[in-house]
Amino acid sequence: MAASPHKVRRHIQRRILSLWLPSFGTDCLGQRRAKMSSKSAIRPLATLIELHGRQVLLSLSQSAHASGLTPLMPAADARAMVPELDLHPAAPGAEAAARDRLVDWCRRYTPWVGIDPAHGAGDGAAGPAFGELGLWLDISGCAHLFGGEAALLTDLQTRLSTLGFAHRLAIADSAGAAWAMARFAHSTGVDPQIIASGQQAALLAPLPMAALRLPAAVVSGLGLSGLRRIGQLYDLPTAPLRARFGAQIVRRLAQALGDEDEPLTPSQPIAPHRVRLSFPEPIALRQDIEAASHRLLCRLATRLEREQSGARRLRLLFFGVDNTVRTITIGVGRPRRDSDGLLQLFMPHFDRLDPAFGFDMVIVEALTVEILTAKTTALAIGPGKADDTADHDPAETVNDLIDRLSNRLGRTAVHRLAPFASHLPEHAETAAASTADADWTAPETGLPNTAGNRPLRLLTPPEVVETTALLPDHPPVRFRWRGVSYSIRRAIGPERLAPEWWHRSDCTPALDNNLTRDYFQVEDDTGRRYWLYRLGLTERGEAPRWYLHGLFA
Amino acid sequence: MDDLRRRVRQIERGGNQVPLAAHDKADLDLGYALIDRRLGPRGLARGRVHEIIGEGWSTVRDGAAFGFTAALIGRLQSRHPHGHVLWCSRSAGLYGGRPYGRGLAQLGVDPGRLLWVDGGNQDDRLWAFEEALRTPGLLAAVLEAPANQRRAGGVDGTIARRLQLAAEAGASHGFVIRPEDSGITLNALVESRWRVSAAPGVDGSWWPSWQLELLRARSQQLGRWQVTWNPQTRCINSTAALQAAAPTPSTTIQSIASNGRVAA
Repeated sequence: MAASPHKVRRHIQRRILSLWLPSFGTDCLGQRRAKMSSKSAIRPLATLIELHGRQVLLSLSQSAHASGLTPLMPAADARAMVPELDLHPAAPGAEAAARDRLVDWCRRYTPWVGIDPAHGAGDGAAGPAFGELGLWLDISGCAHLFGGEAALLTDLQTRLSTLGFAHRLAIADSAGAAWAMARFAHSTGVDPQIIASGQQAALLAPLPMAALRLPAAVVSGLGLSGLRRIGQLYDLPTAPLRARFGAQIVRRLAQALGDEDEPLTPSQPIAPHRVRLSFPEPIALRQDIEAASHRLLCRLATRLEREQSGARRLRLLFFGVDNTVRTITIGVGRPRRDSDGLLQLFMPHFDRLDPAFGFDMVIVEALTVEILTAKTTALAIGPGKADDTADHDPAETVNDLIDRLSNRLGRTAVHRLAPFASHLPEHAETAAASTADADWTAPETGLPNTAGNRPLRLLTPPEVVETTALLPDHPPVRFRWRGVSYSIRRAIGPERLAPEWWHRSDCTPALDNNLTRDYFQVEDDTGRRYWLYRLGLTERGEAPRWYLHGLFA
Repeated sequence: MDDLRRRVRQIERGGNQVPLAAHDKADLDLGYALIDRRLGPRGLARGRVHEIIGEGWSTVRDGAAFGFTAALIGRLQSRHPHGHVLWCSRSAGLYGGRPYGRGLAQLGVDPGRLLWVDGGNQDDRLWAFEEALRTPGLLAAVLEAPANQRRAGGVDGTIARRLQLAAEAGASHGFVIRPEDSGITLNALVESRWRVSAAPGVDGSWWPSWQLELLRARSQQLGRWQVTWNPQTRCINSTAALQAAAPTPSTTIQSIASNGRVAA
């Protein structure tokens, strides 16, 4: 399924965009406080975390960096150095959400967006909080959609600035080179941002060793040996280098130079199929959105048809001009590729889609793809017969119905009851997927089916009733339920259900699974039938309580 | 004659628009001649909505209307070895509990062929019911209308009309269970209307017994019967007839409190 991106990869030179947001934490804070007066926005801003019982800086705004502050500096020192420093506690939850939004947003350029595992503060000691953020965008074969790499880069930079993110980025053949250039190129004064294919060796040469993504100990070890620039490693034999500083340095160097492939993990699985439509003018009208979605689905259907497959899960991504992404995901019970039917499934969700200032790009992704036999296709593309055949195949119409219902009402809204091996009535069945098959003829527990009558409706949880019984072991002669008194004409029972001692668990008093229950089916004098049970055994000294558990017809 | 009727209906509904995909679906008789005679040539007509009124859920709760509908579904299922029934249950919970598959199986229903729809609000369930009626692949669709939902009179007519058209399109049976105190009423557009309440059963047997009132029928011949459902044959019988032929209490039934009336 996911083979197609790899196939493409062999023919196209890999191009990686490394995006670095050095002040991610404070930028998020700034976004959250967008209504902040411009005066305070100029003040240096930093976020705080607690580390080993001390408050230290995590993320620094650009002006705070300029004031000479560094991450992981104690907050007290920072205040002393920069009295006007604006300090706020880091909000890991909000920052993680902002990161996910940003990753989604980056999908407008390429489906392959990964999070650099080396983000966070310093040595990763900050845990879940974000001081900075690094992203990989594999833009191989994508740049031409935006008019080339330079245009893509400009577009990305403009949008990031609008969003209020300080950023540095670079495009190169390898992830290592892009990473190094994005973070360290500005210090050498040569910052080309786009490293032409094969040019990375020359540009990497003047960069410091830290640009190779090495642990601090290795960098300082290299420094002690006089090796401070990457270029110094080019002519050294690898064997002694490996022996002295470990295998990592050799591998990182080869990866940076593009000699060794470096696998990157996308933050979300790459959809096997993806169709994109962008607009010179943003669209906002409902009919435009529908038309765009339909056109995308048609193109997707053509592709799927060529591959003899159908989609099980689909996602529409709407990229707004306000730099937000809205997604709609639908699932279907069996592989499909009929664009009209799929559009119908998306339709109800368009009601809740808020276009705000309009969308400038729509992408449809087939997230899960399965083989779709040619038989259905042959029927569906028959001239003028498509609707008739659909109506004449009862199973298909039911499956369509289930898809429609579960996409509008929720995935669990349509279900079937499935038996479950337990002799406690409330556990004896579960809700199953609507396509499951169940055997209702099997007894409840695998033992011979000795169970007595079961009610049509089961009260969950059982309700307390007050009863009058002539003898402790007898069914009641009358009971009171929800304020109404019922006198019992006849009863059958008891059916004794012993506790499932292998499942001792704490539960509501009415469902105390550790006590024996005696069930009685009773009929009142008007013919209503109820299922009552007595919880607990008098002979064991337990005070019995009565509950109503079900209604019969 | 039936063919003629069908053609007339077809012409009434705008030519050949009516899909006859579900031609294998048939009307449903109850297996009790006295009632069937009043319902029409073959019993409960397919492609129509039938309304079943139970007791008000806000006051007394019992399973009579639910059970009668389930029994009809069971009878329908026994006629058709395949095909599903969609059941839009009112939100599970406070009043009346949740449907219980093992009990339904004992009533003669195949729970594996029931698709339950819950969740969503009342409009969602109404929509689901209409969509289900429109689907030719389903045997029947059931809607449990909630209690205490009042609607303006004009909306009711529209809803009823839509449901009727949907049922005709799908040619399946539609059942609406509603409590006495429900605001929704389908007025004159339902094919038949029943009121079901609990009735004392036959001595020695725990087969479900109901008092059925036919409040509306095509033939205009209404009636009221005490009936008992036989889960094995999936037939409705007269309770009185069964009582007359009542066997000695079955040995498998242990009747402990047959003298419970004394204390009452």
